[in-house]
Amino acid sequence: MVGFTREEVLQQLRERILAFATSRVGRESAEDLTQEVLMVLHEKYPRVLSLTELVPLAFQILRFKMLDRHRKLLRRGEYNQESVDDAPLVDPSEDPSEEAEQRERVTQLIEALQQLGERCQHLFRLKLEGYTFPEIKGIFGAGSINTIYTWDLRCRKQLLALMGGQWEAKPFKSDAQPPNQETVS
Amino acid sequence: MAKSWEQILGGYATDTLTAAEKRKLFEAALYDQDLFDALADEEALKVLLSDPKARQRILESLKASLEPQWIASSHPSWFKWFRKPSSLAWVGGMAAAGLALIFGWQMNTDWGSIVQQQTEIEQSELNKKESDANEDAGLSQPTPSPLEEKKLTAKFRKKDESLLPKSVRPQASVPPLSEVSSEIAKSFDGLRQDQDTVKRERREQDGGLDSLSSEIQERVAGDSESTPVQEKLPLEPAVQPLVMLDEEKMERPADAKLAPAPEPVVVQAQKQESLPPPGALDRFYAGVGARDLGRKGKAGAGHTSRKQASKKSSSFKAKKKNRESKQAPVETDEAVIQKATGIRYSFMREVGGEVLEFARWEQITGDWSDVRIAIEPNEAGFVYVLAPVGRGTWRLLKETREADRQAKQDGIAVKAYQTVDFQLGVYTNVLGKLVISSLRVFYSPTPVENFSGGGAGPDNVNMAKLQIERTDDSVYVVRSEGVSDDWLRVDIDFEEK
Repeated sequence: MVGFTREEVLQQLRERILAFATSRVGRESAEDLTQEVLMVLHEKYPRVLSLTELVPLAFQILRFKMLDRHRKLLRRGEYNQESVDDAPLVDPSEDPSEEAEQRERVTQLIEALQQLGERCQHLFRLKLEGYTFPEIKGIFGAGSINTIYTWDLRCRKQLLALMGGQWEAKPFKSDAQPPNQETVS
Repeated sequence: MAKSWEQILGGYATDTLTAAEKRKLFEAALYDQDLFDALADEEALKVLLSDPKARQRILESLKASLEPQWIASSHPSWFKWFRKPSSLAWVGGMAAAGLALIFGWQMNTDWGSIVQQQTEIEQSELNKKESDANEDAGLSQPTPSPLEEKKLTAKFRKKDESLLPKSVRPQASVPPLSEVSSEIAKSFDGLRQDQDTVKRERREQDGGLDSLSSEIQERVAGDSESTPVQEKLPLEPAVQPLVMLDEEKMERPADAKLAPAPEPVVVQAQKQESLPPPGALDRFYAGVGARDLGRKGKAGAGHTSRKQASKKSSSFKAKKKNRESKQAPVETDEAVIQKATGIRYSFMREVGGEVLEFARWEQITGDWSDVRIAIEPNEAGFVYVLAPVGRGTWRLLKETREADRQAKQDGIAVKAYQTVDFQLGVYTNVLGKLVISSLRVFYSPTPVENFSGGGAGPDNVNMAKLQIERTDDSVYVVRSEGVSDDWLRVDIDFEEK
């Protein structure tokens, strides 16, 4: 790791994760969430030292922890009070609802991509095929790499707007409370 | 959020960032909360795209939507070329040319046969008119019966085959060249005899035509005294039909009069007109029979060197015989044609052991060093040949047989129809080209001492009172009728006209 030690990276990550979680799940839940993420990084990934590996790993753990918290709240009925007897038994296989949700998001993404322009579609396709930005610059014959960066930024904004402002499917039903809304027990 | 890291944020979800871009992005994310939040939001898309099935599904959908456009974009230069106005104009021009060709081809296919048919109809109408006109003209001329025509055709074919050289006769072996020449000469003699026979018969049939022709000749002779030779030329068109009659009768056998072909109307009309005036050739040989000419010819040949005489080829002999055969009708017309004093001259050259004669100097090409000029007067006398040597000075040429010894007198004494020749090689340059511009030939019945004295000879000779006739190998110059000068002068010009 050049310039940053593992401890420095984790310290910076803690601040960023806490701030992010506070904006999404509230202050108290945010501190717990941040602590859980750092515990996983410390206990399960002590050999990961690189910045370029630690940061994406932290994003993945953070996302999973946030999803677990959502499921826990749903199970506890903090959003909708349900009888425990009505709750389904745990299935060790993949969650069909998650699969359906995944298919729905992909369909939504495809529909959004179809509405993009030719260049944006081509750019997104090249990115999915694994081309790097310098390689895409050569394919398009652009004079500068910044041209490709600018095109990609505009295309990403258009796609995000077409996806409703977020990549994640809405985890809650229409009658459910927003995730950052604290429930009063 | 117009920051530098924002531009590469889109590559995080698709995992297309390079190592340097990732390091730059994540270092920035450690100290920038907005970037960190954005990357955390991009994590959902990254997880979605990390699923191979979902990734493949998105790619297929993108391929399906981009394929037509991608095909078009794979040839951008081609489409850009089509978008140029000049390219469009060129394509339009080519299309117009193609349409014009197709239209023209179609027109030719549809209308070409019709136009051709119209042309053929017009042509057939013209041919029909011409044939009608010919038929109308042919009605005035009696045609021979089929039996008579068959007889004549058979005789003509037999006569024609006898006229042909043996080399081209059917089932005949190839004879030597001398035999062929003699055969040709005999054929010409036979033709000449046939022509004489026909003329005699025609004269007998026409009766008073001789008297008429004699009148015309007298009139022509009177005209020749006052007009130069060139002014007599307009008489030739009137002569031409009679010549055609002679040629026509020459090809017929002697017994063809048993079944005489009807004479054309034009020829019958021409009989009422005048006979041709005698030419210089006829007048040159007038009064001399073929036998006498043969004797005189031998005398002439003997006068030249025996070596030269032996070198004369069979063709030269054939020419001589031909000349003798030309003499035959003159013998029969002695009462009509008056002999005139004159000379014959020609240019002689040895080619391949044969002595060839030429009437025109233009016929001789190349080296002139062996060329001679032959002079033959038809009366005994003296011949003088002068050549200009520059600055108004003329020099007498020496005869070939006298060239190697000192001549005793200026003039060359000759007998009637004796040929003397003069070498022209002394007046050629190193390249063999003739350096004199002319020759002047004098004939006098009596010798003259100190003939020219360096001058051009006597200048009181009227050149306009000469009648000239050229044959293939000689030029005949005779005095016009009524002229009785002692001197006969002939100027031979070598300047190209």
